[in-house]
Amino acid sequence: MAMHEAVLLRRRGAEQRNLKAYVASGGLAALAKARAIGPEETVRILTDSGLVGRGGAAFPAGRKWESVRTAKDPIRYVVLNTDESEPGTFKDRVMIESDPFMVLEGLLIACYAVSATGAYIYVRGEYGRVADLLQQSLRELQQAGHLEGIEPQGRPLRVEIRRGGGAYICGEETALFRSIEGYRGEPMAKPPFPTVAGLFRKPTVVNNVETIANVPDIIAFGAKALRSRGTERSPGTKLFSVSGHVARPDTYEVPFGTPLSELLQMAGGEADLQAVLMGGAAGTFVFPKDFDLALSYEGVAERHTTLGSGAVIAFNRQTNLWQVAERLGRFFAHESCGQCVPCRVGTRRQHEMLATLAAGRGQGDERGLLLRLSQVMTDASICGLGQTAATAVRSLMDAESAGLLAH
Amino acid sequence: MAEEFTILIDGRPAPARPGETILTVLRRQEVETPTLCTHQHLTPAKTCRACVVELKGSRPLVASCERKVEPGMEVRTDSERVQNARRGVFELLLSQNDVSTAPGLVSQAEALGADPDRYRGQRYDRGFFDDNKLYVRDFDKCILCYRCVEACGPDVQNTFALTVAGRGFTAGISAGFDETLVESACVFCGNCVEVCPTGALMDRREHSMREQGRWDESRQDIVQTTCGYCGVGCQLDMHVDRERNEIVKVTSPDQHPITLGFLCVKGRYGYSFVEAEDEPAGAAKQV
Amino acid sequence: MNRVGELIDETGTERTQLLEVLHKVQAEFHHIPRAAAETIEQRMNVPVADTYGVVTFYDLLTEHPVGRNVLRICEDVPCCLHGSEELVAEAERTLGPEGQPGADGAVSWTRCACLGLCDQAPAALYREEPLAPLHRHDIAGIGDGHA
Repeated sequence: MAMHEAVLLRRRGAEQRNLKAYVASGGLAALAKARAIGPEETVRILTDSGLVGRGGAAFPAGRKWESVRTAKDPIRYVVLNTDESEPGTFKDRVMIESDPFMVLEGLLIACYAVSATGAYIYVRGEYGRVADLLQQSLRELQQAGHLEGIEPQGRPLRVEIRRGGGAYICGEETALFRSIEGYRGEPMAKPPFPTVAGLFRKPTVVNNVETIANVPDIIAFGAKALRSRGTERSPGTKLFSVSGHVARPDTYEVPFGTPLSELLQMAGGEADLQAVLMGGAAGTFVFPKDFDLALSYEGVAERHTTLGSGAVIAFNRQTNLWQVAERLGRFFAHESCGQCVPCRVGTRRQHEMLATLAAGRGQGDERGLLLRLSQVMTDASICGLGQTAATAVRSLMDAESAGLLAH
Repeated sequence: MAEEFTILIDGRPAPARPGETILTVLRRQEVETPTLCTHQHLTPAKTCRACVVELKGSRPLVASCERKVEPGMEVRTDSERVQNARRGVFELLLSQNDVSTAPGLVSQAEALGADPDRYRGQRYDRGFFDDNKLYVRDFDKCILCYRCVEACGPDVQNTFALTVAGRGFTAGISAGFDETLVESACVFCGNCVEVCPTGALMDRREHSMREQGRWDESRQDIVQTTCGYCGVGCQLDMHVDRERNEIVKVTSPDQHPITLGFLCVKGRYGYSFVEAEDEPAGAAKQV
Repeated sequence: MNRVGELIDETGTERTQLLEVLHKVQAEFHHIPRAAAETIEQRMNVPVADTYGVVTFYDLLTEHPVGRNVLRICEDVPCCLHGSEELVAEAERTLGPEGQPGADGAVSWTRCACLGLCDQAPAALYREEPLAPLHRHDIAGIGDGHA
C-alpha cells in the first residue's frame, strides 16, 4: 500500500498549534506574496491551478473569485462555508482542527483577492469546538495585525464567525445567506448567482473549508504546486471521510486518481464489503466490482457516481441496504426546508415507502413509485436537496436489479 | 422601455420584454400552464412547482412564474418531462390535502391526468381553527403556497402576523407561538383569505353557510359600491344572497386601481356589524 | 425580559444577529419563550411571528422548554451501523420521552442528524460537547446526574 504525503493535513498532530508555530513552518508566506503581486495576479494563479470547489459542486474556484473581483458593486463578501452536515462527512472539522491557520490564511487571501469588505465564517451549530478554535486563531491573527491592509477602504477586515442553527439545508449557499441574514434557511432561486447577488444581495464568494485550505500553497508555490499531484483533470489532493465498517474510520488525504480500493485498504475496510456509499446521503452506492474506480472527478463520472462531499461509508455483507436507504430517506424528510411541494411532500412519501421496504412489508408497487417520484423530485425541486434526495435510492434499485445486494 | 426580443416556446418564436417572466409570455401566447402559488399582485413564491418548464441549458426544470426571460431562451412546455413533473406535483398534493374547496386545483390536476390515488401516506393533518368572528383556518387544505404570508407581509399589508413555521412535511402557516389569531398581530384585513387558493382560509360566514349547505354562488348577485368608511375610495363587491337578501361576502375587483383586490377589516368585514354572526365555537383543536 | 434585552445589547440589534441572539436566549432559558420574541420585536424590529418561524426552522432552537443539559444522539447512517438505535432505546428508557425534561428540568435528550463525528460513531453531543463513542453507561450516568 502506497503512503501518501500529507499536504493539506501536514500539520495534523503538530505539538504547537499557534500562530508562531504556523509562521515558523512557512505559514503566512502566501498572504504576503498575494499582497505583493496584487489581487488580479492572485486570482490568475488560482485560476491556472485548476482548483475546483470541494463542497460537492466542483465549480472552478478561480472563476468564482474573478467574477467577484471584477464586480461593479464595491461592497463584496467572502463566506467560508463551514456548515459541514452531509451524513458521513467530517473532513472539514478535521481540516480546521489540524490547521486552523491555513484555513484562515486562505480566507484572508480570498478577501484580499476580491477586495472583500467583510467576511463571514458560517459554522454549523453543532461544531462548537471548531467555532471556538477559529475564533481563537482569528484573534491571534488580528492581534498580530494580519487583518490590516486587506479591506479596500483601509479598515481592518471584519471577519465574523456565525453559528448555524442546526439545519442541513443551510449548507446550500443561498439558504446559508438567509440564515446569516437572520431568516429561515430557505433556498432562493438561482440566478442570480451568489457572485452577482449573494449575501445581503451583494457579490459574494462562497467557498468550502477544504477549497480554501488549498489556497495558501497554490499562491505560495504557484499553480504547478497543485498540479504536481492528482490527475490532469483533477489536480491536487482530496480529503475523504471514511466511516462505517472499517477498522480505522478517519479523514484521509490522497492524491486525486487514487483507487477507491486503496482508500478502503488504508482505512482497514473489512475484507468482504458489500458496498460503499460515495458522496454522502446525496451520493450513490458503489459495489465491489467498481472498487477499482479512480477517485477523481473524471474517474467517478465514468462509473456514474460522485465524490460529493468526500464521504465514503462502508457496509459489510450483514447490512441490509434497504435499511440504510430508510435512514437516508428519514434524513432528507427531516432536513427538507419545506418550501417546495416536490421536496416537502416527496421526501416524506419517499421515506414512507423506504420504511415499508426496509421492514420487508412492501406491497409490490413501491419500487415503481419510488422511481416515478425520484424523477419528479429531481426535475422540479428548487434546490439541490430535493434534486438529489432520491439519488442513492435510485442507485440502490439499479444494484438490486443487477443482483448486487446481499439481502 | 427596453427592446422587445424573441424567445422560443416549444419551438415557436414568441415576443418577450425584458423584466417579464416566462409565465407572462406563456399566458400571452395562450399556452396552458398550471399554477397554484403564483398570484398577479404578489412576489412569486416559486414553491408549488406546478408551472415548471424545461429551459435549454438548465439541468433541473425552472419555475416559469419566477424566471425572467432572456434573449435566446428556449423553453419547452410540451415535453413528457414537464408533464410528468407537473402531474407529480398535483399527485403529491392530492395525497396529502383536503381539496374539497379547491376546484381550481382539482380541475388543473384532472387536465394533467393526475391520479389522486397515486401516492399513499400521511395526510397533511393540521386541524381546523375557529377562533375569531371573521374567518376560519382549515389547515388540512393548506398547500403552503406562501400567498397569505406574503399578503400579510411586505407585499400588501405589512402586518407580519403570519409565518411559515416548522420544516419539511411538518411546516405550516402559523401566527406564532400557538396563538389564536385574536392574540396575534392579525388586524383581520382578510387579505390572506382573499389570496388563499384552496379555501384553507375562509370567511366565517361562507364557512358556516357551506356547513349548512346554504352556500350557492349561482344564487348570489354582486352589488357594486364604494366603501364609505374612509376617503380612500375602495370599490366593494357585495355578494348578496338573492333569496335571503343578505350580504354573504365582500370582495374587491382584483384589477381595481386602488385596491387590487385588497381591503381593510372595515371594508371586508364591516358589513357584519349589521348582521352579527354567532359567537365562535373556540379552537376545535388545542395545540 | 430585561435579560433578553441585555443579550440583544451585547450582540447587536440588526436582523442579521437574530440567530446569534436566539442561541444565547436558548442557552439561558432552554427555550425561546414568547416574551423573548416580544423583546426581540421591540428591540430588533423582528415580528413575533417571524421569530417563531425561525425558531421552529432550526433544530438547536426550541419553542418548548428542554433540559438544562441536552443529550443529542445521532441517528444517521454511520452511527446507525454502530448501534445508535439501541442507544436511542436506552435513552428513552433511562431519560424518558424524547425532548421532555423531567420534573427537575435537568436533562432531556433528542435524536439528531449527523454530527460530523462519524469517525467516533456512535456519536452524541452532551451539553454541546462531543460524547463519542457514546456508551449505554454514559446514558445511565447522565440519568443519575453523574455525567
